[in-house]
Amino acid sequence: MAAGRLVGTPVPRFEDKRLLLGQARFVADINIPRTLHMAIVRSTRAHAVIEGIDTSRAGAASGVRRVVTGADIVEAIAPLPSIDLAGGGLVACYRALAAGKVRHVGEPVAAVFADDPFQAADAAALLDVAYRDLPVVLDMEAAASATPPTLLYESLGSNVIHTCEQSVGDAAAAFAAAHRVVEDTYRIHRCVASPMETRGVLADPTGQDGRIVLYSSTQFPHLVRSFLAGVLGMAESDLRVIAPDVGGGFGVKCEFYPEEVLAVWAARTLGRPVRWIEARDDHFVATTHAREQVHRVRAVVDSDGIVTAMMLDSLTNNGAAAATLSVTPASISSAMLRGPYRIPNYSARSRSVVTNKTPLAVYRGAGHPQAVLCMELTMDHIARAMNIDRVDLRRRNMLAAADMPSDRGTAIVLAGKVVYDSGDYAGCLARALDLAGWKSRDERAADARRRGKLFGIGIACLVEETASGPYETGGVRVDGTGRVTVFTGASPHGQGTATAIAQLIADELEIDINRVSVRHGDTDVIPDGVGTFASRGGAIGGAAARLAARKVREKALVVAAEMLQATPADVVWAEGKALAANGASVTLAAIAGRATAWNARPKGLTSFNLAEEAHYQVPGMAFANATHICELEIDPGTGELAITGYAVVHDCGTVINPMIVEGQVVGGIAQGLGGTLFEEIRYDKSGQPLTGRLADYLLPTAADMPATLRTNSMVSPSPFNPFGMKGAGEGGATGAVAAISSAVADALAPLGVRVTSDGPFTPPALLHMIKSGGRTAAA
Amino acid sequence: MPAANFHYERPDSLERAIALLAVPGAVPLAGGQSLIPLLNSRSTTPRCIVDISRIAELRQIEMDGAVVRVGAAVRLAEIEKNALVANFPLLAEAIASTASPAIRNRATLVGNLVWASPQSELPVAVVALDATLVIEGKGMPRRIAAADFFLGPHCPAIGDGEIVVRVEFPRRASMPSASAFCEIGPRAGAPPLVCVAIRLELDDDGAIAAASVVAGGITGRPSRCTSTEAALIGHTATTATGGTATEDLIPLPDLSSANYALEVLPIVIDRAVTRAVSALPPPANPPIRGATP
Amino acid sequence: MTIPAEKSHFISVTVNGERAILHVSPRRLLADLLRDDLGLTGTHVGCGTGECGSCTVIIDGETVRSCLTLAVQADGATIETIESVGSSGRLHPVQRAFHTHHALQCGFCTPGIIISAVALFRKNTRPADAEIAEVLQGHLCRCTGYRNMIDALRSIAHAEDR
Repeated sequence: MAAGRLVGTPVPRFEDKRLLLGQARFVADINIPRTLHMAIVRSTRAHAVIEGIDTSRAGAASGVRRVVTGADIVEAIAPLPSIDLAGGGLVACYRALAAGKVRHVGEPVAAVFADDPFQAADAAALLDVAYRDLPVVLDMEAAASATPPTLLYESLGSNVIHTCEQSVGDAAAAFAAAHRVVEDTYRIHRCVASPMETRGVLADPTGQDGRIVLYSSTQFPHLVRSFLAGVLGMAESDLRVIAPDVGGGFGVKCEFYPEEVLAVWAARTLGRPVRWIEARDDHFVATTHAREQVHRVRAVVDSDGIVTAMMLDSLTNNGAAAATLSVTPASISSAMLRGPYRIPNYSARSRSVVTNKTPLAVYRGAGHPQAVLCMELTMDHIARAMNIDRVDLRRRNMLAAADMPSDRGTAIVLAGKVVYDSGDYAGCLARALDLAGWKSRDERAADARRRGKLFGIGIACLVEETASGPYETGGVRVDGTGRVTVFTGASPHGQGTATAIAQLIADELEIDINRVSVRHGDTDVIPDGVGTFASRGGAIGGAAARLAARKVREKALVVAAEMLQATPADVVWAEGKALAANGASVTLAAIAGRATAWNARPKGLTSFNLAEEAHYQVPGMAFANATHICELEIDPGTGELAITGYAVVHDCGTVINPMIVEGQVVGGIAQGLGGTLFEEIRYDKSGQPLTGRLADYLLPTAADMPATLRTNSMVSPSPFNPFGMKGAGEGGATGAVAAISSAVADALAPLGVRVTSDGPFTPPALLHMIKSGGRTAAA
Repeated sequence: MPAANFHYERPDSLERAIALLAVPGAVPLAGGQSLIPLLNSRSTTPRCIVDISRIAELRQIEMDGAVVRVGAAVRLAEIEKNALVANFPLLAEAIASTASPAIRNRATLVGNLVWASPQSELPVAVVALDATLVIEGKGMPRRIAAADFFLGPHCPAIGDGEIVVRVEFPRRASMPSASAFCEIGPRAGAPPLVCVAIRLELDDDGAIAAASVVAGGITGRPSRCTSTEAALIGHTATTATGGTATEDLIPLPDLSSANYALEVLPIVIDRAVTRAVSALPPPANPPIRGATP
Repeated sequence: MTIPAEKSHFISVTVNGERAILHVSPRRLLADLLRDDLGLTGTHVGCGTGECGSCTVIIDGETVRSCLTLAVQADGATIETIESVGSSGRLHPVQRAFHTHHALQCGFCTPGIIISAVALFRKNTRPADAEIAEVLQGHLCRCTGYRNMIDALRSIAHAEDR
């Protein structure tokens, strides 16, 4: 087998040209005649009984074709599923329109369908909803307590919709025999992913075959189709779901939403296309939120600084309902807390709690950024308490490359057992320290202090769960001109997966990459698939596609053998051709031409084509790893913070396109930076959102990125992937949250401040911490 | 979301605009960079929008004796590029710090002042520059000092049917002066948490004869830092420092960052003073050694 | 009391060199006109409040947020959108640089940034880093982390030949 020629190289992306020329087709760019426009009326209350909805004025408004409320559709539309939740908590599943009660500001209450978006918005404003307010609970600890101020789902009898447990070794015994226990409670604040493209749907019933086509800004079209079928009582074969160009997802678009259901229902019922494009201020209340958790972490440390046991008791603030992926943040943070450290005894209880905020689901890292923060701040805390060097402490506790594979004894819901496959965590740490100029940090610290600044440097070592299964699909088809079309169940939305997959296939077939095109994001293109989230598109989607290409190559050899009148064993594949021992060859195009039904069937073949499919079932997650090191200065008089250096070494196994991987890492770091320095979703006491537009929720800009950002990579191929690939999409965000928070903790530690949160570390917040000094135990 | 209905008028003359604005529910539109976001979220639903952006007399920047006048429809970007603004580097600095280039290409100075955001830079700068606003609409035109125009957050001293037609900046070209604008923001390019505009005028000996120190982000309106101003009088470029006087300012309760702004005010003032005096030449006649400044 | 239906207005605009006369309701945004009435969907609406920059176009030579411009305000204006920048056969240097530097991922924010960059390079073929930083001010991107955009724009500013 020839060595890869393109895999591992920074091939510029096929996706770019259309996007650069303004020729992209996001869902809002698609125009179908006679489309009806949907406006959603949303709850203005955080928790209330709906006493009545008067639709008469709205229904009579100009251009309005239909107004529906929850009562109208309660029979026709089932609750939206949550795929990672089981048990009594399922009563908390979201409904397409509120049924009798609203549980968060922004919850859909009614839908208006009109001839143009202005008429729809005007009519929506004429809808009158009578609410009877109920007590509001926003705080997850209060909601989870034995006597919460209110119950969101009375029949459940509790606001805890799920409890996830992990148990490894015997943590209780270790605690009983503890030499030293280090304990902290970490608070992670609420953020939103905020892709630049909000959500949108366009449901079209007017196609020639009578199916409904739903265009949706989604990360998983096949799953959307399955959910629609289930919720609407339709056959999957009556639905086609297309993810057109999608402007970022980051986890909020691998969710199934009311608007998708309502648009399809209405298109079917009214016989016209139905369109809804989410306004940004609706996005802040209607699209899932992220991150908000509280973790009580206890660690047992022996006299050598070895952490022998950890215990975690945590809460996730799931907001008002169980989203499609609701338990996942709690599950991942509890499963991954120990990161790269051995810590042989561990027990965790992670509860997912409902409150009167927008539902919370996954966002780049999905519970993991929080876990890394807890672990790394705990490590630094131990180091300070025991006067052990922070780096040394980490090394003492780290798993070694020789320990792999390492069964960690935990499990992640849906994804399975956590078994670390490969990785040199200590090597990665060493390289990152080098890249960050660790050895000369004291000089820079002294210089900062001379200028009156506090200096801090943070370390975050993480092992990242990637390439979640259960499977992905891939298809490869060669036509008579030798052009290769790849079909994938992956559904990229900016990641460049099409280019990456083309590289894999070009290498597998040893052909010019310009002869390869990749199609995705459409349930017609490939009948079965999972989608792009959880850092799986390249690793698993790519694996499935390459396996299909491998089968095509093998098939091509069989056909070629016949064409060359040789035995298959005497034919080899090279440079896109089949070569016989006597030097005769046939091209891929010729082989494809021979394999069609116009000719007699080639011997040894069961199908009349040069095409193959593969379902790649993932034996287990692949675990990438990275080390992030962040250096910063804080002005103690004003709380102004400047990141003066950032270094990251990442390892995602076999790399398909290093340029793309790098882009994912840097983009992730920007999100982690935004989350720790500026971004925060806030509510007032009555549950009214205080951050409703981009002026309130400050996203990072170019000027905020660290002036020096050094990156490097290592390669530890995964034995769990046929091509050694691991996922690369989330590590940047996962590491940055912890690295920056750890650097702030380091800068403030000399003042007696203990940092136990992920910020946001705004100037006022930092100044408050600095002025409080050691008087407040936690910040 | 789509804005609610409104009538749109684009008068050619100020007279016509005033007549249209006299009708209840009519609001003026110049740059629209503050108004249109409110329309797009239906936070405001005016009956009639009167577009004044093409009224010739409102589009002028001109010098009239010792006064530079900036019309209500003049864009921030136009002011930045105009040679006359060289007289007011403080204004140029505050404009450069406002929003971003595309916003500044449309936003107007007057529009920003009438919006009267408690965290905006421009109200602070115009107060420090002793500007005057000229208002028309009810009988005779009236003049109001910038210092009196800002009553509170989003609360300008202007009534229904009235319109600010221009801002006037007095030039004191004969006296050497120095100015600086400093701020601390939550993030690059976002409205500041606290800002300070400082303008100093010096006498022939290089001593500070007059000082204007105005802060934003604390009380909900531009606030004069009178103790600092008094403390600066008589100092020279080499002896002037800021931030030693305490200011008697009451942080606005509804402004969550106001307490922070007050707390760091001395540091921001000090930065502004330092930067303002750094551009000055050393005094020609230094004070006699040993004399009390 | 009912609000009387708003009066629509005829406006004349020149978009990407072509003149169009349209009848628009006053509450229609320029972004709506470009995207829905003229089918120029390359200009994207990300926020409706002028904060993300995705809707940026050039009006009479200056960059403007089309989501903060009423269509009626554009009467008589000359407008350039991303569709007038480069072509399939020949990318504009900014587009080419973005491609080679991997300065885009999902592409939603990209047209607005390219427009701002094109406007800058028209005024100054060798902008300093501070001017490049100003171009990116007011543009939000959630995918790339901006670093490659800065590299792309600097590569044009420092190019030997253009």
